[in-house]
Amino acid sequence: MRKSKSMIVCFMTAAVITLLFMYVYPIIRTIIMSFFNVESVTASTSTWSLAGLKNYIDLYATSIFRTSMINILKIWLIGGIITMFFALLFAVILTSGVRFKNFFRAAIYLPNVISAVAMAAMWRYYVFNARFGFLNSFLELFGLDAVNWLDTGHIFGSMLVAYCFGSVGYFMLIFLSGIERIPSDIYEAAMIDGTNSFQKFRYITLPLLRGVFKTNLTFWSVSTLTFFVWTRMFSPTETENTTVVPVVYLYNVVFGSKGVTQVDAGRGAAIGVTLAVCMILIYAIMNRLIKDDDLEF
Amino acid sequence: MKRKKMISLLMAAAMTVSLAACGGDGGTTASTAPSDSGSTETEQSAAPSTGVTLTYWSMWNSNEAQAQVIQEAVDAFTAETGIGVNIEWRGRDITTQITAALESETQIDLFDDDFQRVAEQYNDHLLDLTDLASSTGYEDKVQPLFMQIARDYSEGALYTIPYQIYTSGIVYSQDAFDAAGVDASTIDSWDGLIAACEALKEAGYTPFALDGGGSPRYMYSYILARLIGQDAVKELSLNGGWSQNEGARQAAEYIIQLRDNDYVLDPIGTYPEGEYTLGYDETAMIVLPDYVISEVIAGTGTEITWGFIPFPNLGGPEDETYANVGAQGFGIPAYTEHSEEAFQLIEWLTTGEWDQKLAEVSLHAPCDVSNTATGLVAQIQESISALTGYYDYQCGTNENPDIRLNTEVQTLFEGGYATADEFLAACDARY
Repeated sequence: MRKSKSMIVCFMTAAVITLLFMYVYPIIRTIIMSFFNVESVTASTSTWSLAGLKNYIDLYATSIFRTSMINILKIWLIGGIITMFFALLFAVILTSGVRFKNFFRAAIYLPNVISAVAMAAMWRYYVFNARFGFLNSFLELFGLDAVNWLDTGHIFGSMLVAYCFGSVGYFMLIFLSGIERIPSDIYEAAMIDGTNSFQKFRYITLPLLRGVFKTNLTFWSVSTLTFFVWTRMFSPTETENTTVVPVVYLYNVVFGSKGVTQVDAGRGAAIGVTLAVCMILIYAIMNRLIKDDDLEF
Repeated sequence: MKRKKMISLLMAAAMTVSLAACGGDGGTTASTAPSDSGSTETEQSAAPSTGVTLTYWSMWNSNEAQAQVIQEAVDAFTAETGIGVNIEWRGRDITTQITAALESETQIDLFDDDFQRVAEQYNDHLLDLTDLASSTGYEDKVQPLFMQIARDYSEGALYTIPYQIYTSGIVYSQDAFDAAGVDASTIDSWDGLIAACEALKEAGYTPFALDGGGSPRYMYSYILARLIGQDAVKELSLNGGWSQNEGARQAAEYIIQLRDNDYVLDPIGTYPEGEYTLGYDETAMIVLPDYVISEVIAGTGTEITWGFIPFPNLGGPEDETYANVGAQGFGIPAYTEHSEEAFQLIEWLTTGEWDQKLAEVSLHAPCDVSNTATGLVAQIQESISALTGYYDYQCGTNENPDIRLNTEVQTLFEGGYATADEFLAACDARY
């Protein structure tokens, strides 16, 4: 027993030290930094001066930050509905006995193994491009006018569609594993009782997937709150109101941007803390709304 | 049990190695060491080693044309002086790495980045180069305006040495102008510009290329600065009041005139495809810094003949001798023990033969005033020499970093605002 304890300590030490230095320390430092005037992320603490809540008050009064929060809320809500809908739809179809299930599963998951940078470039150049993109070629087939999918009126929607396309496969796999975990005898009993496919989905699959929904919504929230690459790819040179999100604004504030050399790590930390609080709130609300411990199977 | 211990040791070792690998600082390196005794044939003419090896963090990627010239220059520098140079090709990510490196006093003897950023953002950790520059008479050899700007950024101190200098204005296709019978020298007023646009349109060209990467705001900002001056633009950017400003209204009406007469690309291309329409011989002009030429050539492989003229005078306080200019800049950390050698290398790269070669590969004007250029670069060099003042990037509309109005200006070009008043009201709504 003593020997196994030493083994546990041996293995745990590296993990605990890593956790403390690479996660806990930066989190605590960031929280403290958000209450100070700090120019650069790595500035010595001797150069910090107390700002109190100023970083937060200034941040919330900044129109571009408010715009970025509205944008991320739209991505979370609208993108979440689209992604979860298609992920669940594909998961249900793939578990309904369709042929070539493995092929379709791999095909739908494929965008997740491609770098987000490559995916975004593909959408910009090959799908949305006004000159030779697939969408406009498709519209022209039916004699319809071409659309500039990347102008100020369309770019947000285009970015959202591309992002959701890349995300569906990942959440589909989680739904798939949740559906496959449901015992088949429940469905058999329901079938004997004369239920149709929709009723099976509505009264068996959906209720038994509540825990999986919670997991998926948590993962979706984490991934959308850290949304960065897609904005950088759709607005590569200048931060645009139409596509700006909090992490891109944070990056500009901390490292500066083209023609702007003022940096403010204190404000950047306030953005990071605000996003973390949003995530905790979302998680708490989900835990309250989605109870998954009242069903056992 | 022994086997378990062995496995646990191996796993711990693997974990340590993987963590160590995570700590790698990225970038590729190239080292040029001086010869010890001229022992090989190629090194016989090389200077003996001084025992000093400089560490240079470069903003270039090793496969870029500028990097290749810099590598050649550094090799020649080592052969000439006996000073070794270890170059770390950091690429544009240097912006996110250099502050931490300077604060932790990482061994760097010189580095480069955008020269405004070097002078304004990193200056707390940099050496004032005034004494080093005056000891070699450096400032007499290079474009004086850029040295003045470098000092303006740092309240008179000299924290950066500019190189790869650029200016901005109207970059045009000489082939398109020839086809339309347009003489570039006639574009010296708004009416001259409109007449050129009409001739180009009749010849089958869309006069102005645009992309969603900031060129619409760049064009609007240029017009606005020409009408009311950069200081007034900065005031607007900071405090708003667009609807009450006649210059802002006039600039918007100019844009509407361009838009409604089909003088600008429609639909506006994304970045960089919008610029590439110049290379495809579909558009004739663009208002941007001169580096757009290299981008279009690299992206399209075009062989068109290029031309460059300053943005015309529109009757405001600042005429065509004002332009938005910029550069890359070298900085030397205050803590380095080899500041003289680092400055020697900077001077080597930014004057004489190597400055000339850098200018040739990048199509920028040379820094060294004694270096000469031909063709397009000569036009750019002449334009720089004629400058009496300068605009910041985006001519003052970047003054408020939180309100840059990219979306509003692009929407104006796209036709989203029918009148100048609608546009100005949208700008004011951001404050």
